[in-house]
Amino acid sequence: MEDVLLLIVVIPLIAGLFVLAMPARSHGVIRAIGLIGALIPACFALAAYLAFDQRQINLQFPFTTTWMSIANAYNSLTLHINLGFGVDGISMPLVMLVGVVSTLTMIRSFKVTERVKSHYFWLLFLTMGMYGVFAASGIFTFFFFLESTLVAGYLLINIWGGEKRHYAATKFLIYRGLASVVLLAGLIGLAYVYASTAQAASNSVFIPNAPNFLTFSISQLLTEAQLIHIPAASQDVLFLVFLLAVLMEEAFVPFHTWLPDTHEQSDTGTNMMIGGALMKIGLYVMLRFAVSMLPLGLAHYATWLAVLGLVSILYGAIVAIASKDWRRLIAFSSISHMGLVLLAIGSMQEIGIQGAVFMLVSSGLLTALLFFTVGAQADRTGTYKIENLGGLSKSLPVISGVMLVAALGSVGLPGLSGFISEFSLFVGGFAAFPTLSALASLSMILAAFYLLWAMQRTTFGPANQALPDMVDADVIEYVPMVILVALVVLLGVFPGVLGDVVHGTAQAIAARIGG
Amino acid sequence: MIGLTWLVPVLPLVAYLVLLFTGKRMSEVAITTISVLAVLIGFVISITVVSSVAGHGPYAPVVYNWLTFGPTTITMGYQVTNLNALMLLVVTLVSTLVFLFSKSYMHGDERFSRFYQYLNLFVFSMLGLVITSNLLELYIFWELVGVCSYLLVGFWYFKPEAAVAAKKAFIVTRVGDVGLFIGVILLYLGTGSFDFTTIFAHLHHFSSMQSALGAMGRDAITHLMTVQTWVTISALLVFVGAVGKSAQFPLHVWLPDAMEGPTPVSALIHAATMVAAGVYLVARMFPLFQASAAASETVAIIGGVTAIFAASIGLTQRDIKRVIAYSTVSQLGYMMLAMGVGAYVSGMFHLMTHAFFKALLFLAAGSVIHAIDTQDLFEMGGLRKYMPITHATFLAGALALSGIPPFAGFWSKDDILTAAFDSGHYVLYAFGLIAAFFTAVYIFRVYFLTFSGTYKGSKHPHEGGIAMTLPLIVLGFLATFAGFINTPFAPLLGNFLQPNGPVGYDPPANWGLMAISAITGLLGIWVAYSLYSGGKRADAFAKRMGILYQLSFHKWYIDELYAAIIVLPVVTIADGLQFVDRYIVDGAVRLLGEVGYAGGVSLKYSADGQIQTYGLISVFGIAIVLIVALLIGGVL
Amino acid sequence: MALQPFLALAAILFGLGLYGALTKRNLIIVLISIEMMLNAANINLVAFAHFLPKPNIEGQVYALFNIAIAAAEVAVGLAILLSFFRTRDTSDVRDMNSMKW
Repeated sequence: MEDVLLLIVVIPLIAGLFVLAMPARSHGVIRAIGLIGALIPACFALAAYLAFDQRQINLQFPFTTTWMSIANAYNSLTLHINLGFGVDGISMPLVMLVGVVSTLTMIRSFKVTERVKSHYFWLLFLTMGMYGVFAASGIFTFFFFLESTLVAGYLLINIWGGEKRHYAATKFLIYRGLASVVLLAGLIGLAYVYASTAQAASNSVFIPNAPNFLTFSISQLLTEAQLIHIPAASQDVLFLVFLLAVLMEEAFVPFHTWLPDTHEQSDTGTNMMIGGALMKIGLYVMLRFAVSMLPLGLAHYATWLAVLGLVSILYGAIVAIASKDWRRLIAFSSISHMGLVLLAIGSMQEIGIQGAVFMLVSSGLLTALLFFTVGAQADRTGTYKIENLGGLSKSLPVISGVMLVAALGSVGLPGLSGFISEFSLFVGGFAAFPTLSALASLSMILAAFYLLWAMQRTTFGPANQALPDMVDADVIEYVPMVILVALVVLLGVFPGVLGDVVHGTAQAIAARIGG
Repeated sequence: MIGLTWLVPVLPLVAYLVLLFTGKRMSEVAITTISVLAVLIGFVISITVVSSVAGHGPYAPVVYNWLTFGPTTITMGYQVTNLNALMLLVVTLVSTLVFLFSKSYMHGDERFSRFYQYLNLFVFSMLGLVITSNLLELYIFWELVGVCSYLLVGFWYFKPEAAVAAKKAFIVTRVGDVGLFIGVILLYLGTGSFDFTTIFAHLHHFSSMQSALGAMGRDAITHLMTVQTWVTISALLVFVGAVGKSAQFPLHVWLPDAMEGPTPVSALIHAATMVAAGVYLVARMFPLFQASAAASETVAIIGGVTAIFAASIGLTQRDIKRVIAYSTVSQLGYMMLAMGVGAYVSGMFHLMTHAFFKALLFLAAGSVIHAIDTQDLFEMGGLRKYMPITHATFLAGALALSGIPPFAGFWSKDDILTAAFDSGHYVLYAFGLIAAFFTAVYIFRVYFLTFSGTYKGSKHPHEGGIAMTLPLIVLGFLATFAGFINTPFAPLLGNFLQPNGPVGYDPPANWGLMAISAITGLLGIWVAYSLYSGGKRADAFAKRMGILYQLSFHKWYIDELYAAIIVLPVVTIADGLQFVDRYIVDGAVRLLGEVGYAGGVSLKYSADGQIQTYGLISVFGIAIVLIVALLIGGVL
Repeated sequence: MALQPFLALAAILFGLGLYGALTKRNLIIVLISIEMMLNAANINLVAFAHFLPKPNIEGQVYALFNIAIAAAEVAVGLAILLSFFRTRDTSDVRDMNSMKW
């Protein structure tokens, strides 16, 4: 099991290279390689998930190898940059999420007929990048893979997107690129501040495996976070830098406008990848670095987080009501949901942290499912405009039914994964910010309003005569729908499946920020 | 048998799953058999549960760990108390009858098996709600019940009204659900538990978990409020949930619209069981409401106002199902009134009798609709001849609803009125009495318009099959005699519900008040008879009432009011914000891009392609750099 | 002989070359002006090499390199000029402005 994470990250890349080696015409082979290249890592991820030791709070399945060593002639110290992987209770579920979403995306993308070869290559590349981001145990590794997702995402939108794809792709690139730059500054600052503080404290505190120079190892930083005290002023500044990066990365208001455009212009498979997994990176960064390593900064800006979260929650929910395109609606809905996570992180409660991971996973699954079903109906009707649809329950009962499940899940219906996430987040929120949380709870009503209203206009009512004749889901389409619905129900009925994995790490983080 | 209680909700769930996977290939008979059997076995188990509880008193909850949740562990399980057992019995009984009735009502529907799937899922959720062991679990089933209602109201999704009504039902109850949601969270934060017993034990001081949170300096709850305010706010929020589900004023608007669903659904969900869940919730959380006088008073006032308000609307509606729907709202108001004034037993008693006679009325109405394919009262008439069983049972239901002794409704409604009077809520008593008068008027208006006079339609009406008449007969029997389980002479139900001494306030019988309410009922029937039996006096009377008639007919314009002050502003704000988002927030972003682009475009003209210009500029540039360097170096 | 006169000569030569390169219209003159600047640099190289505390030959070697490069540059420059003249029928530098944005 030692190398499992390395395999998970590398296999999609190898499959991608195989895809490149294939003749461009042989679509069947390329699709098969794509599917296998995503399925094998997903199986490995599942194996890792099952083998995950819930009592451990260190990074598990560690793998480290030196990538490059940069000698510094000035002070004769060497900076070791490692390729390192390892997961804990926060990242393990997200790795699993990437496995699920990427595999199902490969299946969905069987429908792509244009430039199949490069489509699959970039999908596999994006898969590798997301695995790498969540599995990384080093700052450099993390950032490397983060940037690779940027490239792949940009190309996927830019080549296979809708009418205004160039505009959307550029926006995606600029926003996320900018976020990466800010994030890089924060990461380097973080490593530097930790190194200098550790250096200063080395006389009084024993730090195991203390490096003699900057360390980029996340587990080392997490250990040091418990031993040394970073000055509050540095924490505040760094936290702000991280916050800014996360606001852009995760599309929080007012840095959100790229997300609706991106989703509106991307094809279904790309939307599943972006909405289902890529959009979890920002808050993962928040939990991994800002929250775990800068507890004083978090305490200082907790109320800010809550307020920013609230703004996103309500703004997203209200604009979603007025959205006329299903994909924009989903985008705003996910902005609203992510705002709730931010609010809960601001609450600094263990339940809030746990709920945050729940919400990331749950909204990943539900967003992927929503995009899948909305895309499936658009394949048939040719439109995403809500006003042009109607009465789809008649012609597409299965797809409409699954769409309803996804919508109800997003609304937070018990029995589906959305409920326990929302509940945990609100418990955390109310413990710290009752008034803000009470305002945030309006979003539960608004969510019911916009999603069910959209459902009513899409699937209920008399069939729209302008729509063509349609056939319901085929066998290939059943696979993603059945798997996603099954997972959503599984998490809803037995949240312990996820909760047991998350709990230990959430507790550890809470202990760090609470004490 | 008490160990088999879990089977009661699980059987319908199994039936649901079976139908989900194989329902399409099954015959209607097979589907009905499976479904009816599932609830019927549940009913049999419930009987044994009730008898066992009557002997032993409540049983300890059976729970399993569900999720580690912060410092606590959430459990899931079930619990049998006297209250739960009673509800089990009522729900399974009514469900069995409605399941049976639906067989012929839905006969030939394209999605017959889907209908039974939803019904089974609903019964599962409702039974789960009833025997839940903690508040979070209750909330889970509470929402599931709501979504089943959504699915069933919108069952005929191709009708635009049904689609709108389903959405409205879900969203309006969602408003209440959010209240309950926050209430659950507040109670958890104050007590560190979702268990009913733990919560009730901590109503006078915050629990130790609260102090644990306090040590972390993040106990916003204790900072913001005292224990008493916390209890009151929590109780009110829980009540908001009940208001939504039980369609109390001001969240009553969804229930009449929900009548777009198939009639058996109206009978089961929107009359007998789900809407009573709000009352059940208040009963389950009774100690919480007892701990806060303000909250109880609110419950009573909302209940009383709803009772008279909905009854006044029921007087003028043209749609047979809507009249009965408003009647339901009104009767639920009575139950809330009972809970508010502390009359726990009376409230539950009325819940039970109401479940029987209201299910009966709905099913009878369904039988009528099934026979003549219209819901408009003014297109009916004279059906007594064609449908004798429906007529007789409807009459029993109407008499029970009007509170005419010795029918079931008399005993329970009178209990509530007595309690309101005795506890000093004279205004609410007056409301209740006037509502009782209205009740008798509107239900006998329906009766006379439907069954007396001459038949105005063209389709030949006839009685449905045995599957339709059998439930009517059973319910007719119950509507007539169920009241006797809690008469002042033999308060069996009271004793059953209060095994450990009195709960709340149980007033002694007051013969004078009983006589008054019986007379009020009879008076109402007489008014209905004189207005609607035969002659055209009704129209003239309506004209004379003028504005009052309009108010009642247009449901006090509440829907229009909500559309104007809530829906319209929300949609307008949404459109406005969408505009802001597109053109101001995103506009700013694009402006930034445009500025960069424009800057680049304009600066490019400085590059004219003349190598000599570039050279010249470079030379001057180098010169300037040199001079600066020399200045800094101190040479110049 | 001192170093300064050589430097002055080189500076003057460079200044003339620069002036010519930046102002003359005819591409041939511009090329010649560039040669003048290169030669100014050569004078400097040789002069410094000679007047160093330890005089050496390296300056002259570099000067030779420079001359070789200058020859190559003129060859290329004249080739461009010829081709330009053939297509545009002019040798005016101001007409060489198509290589912009």
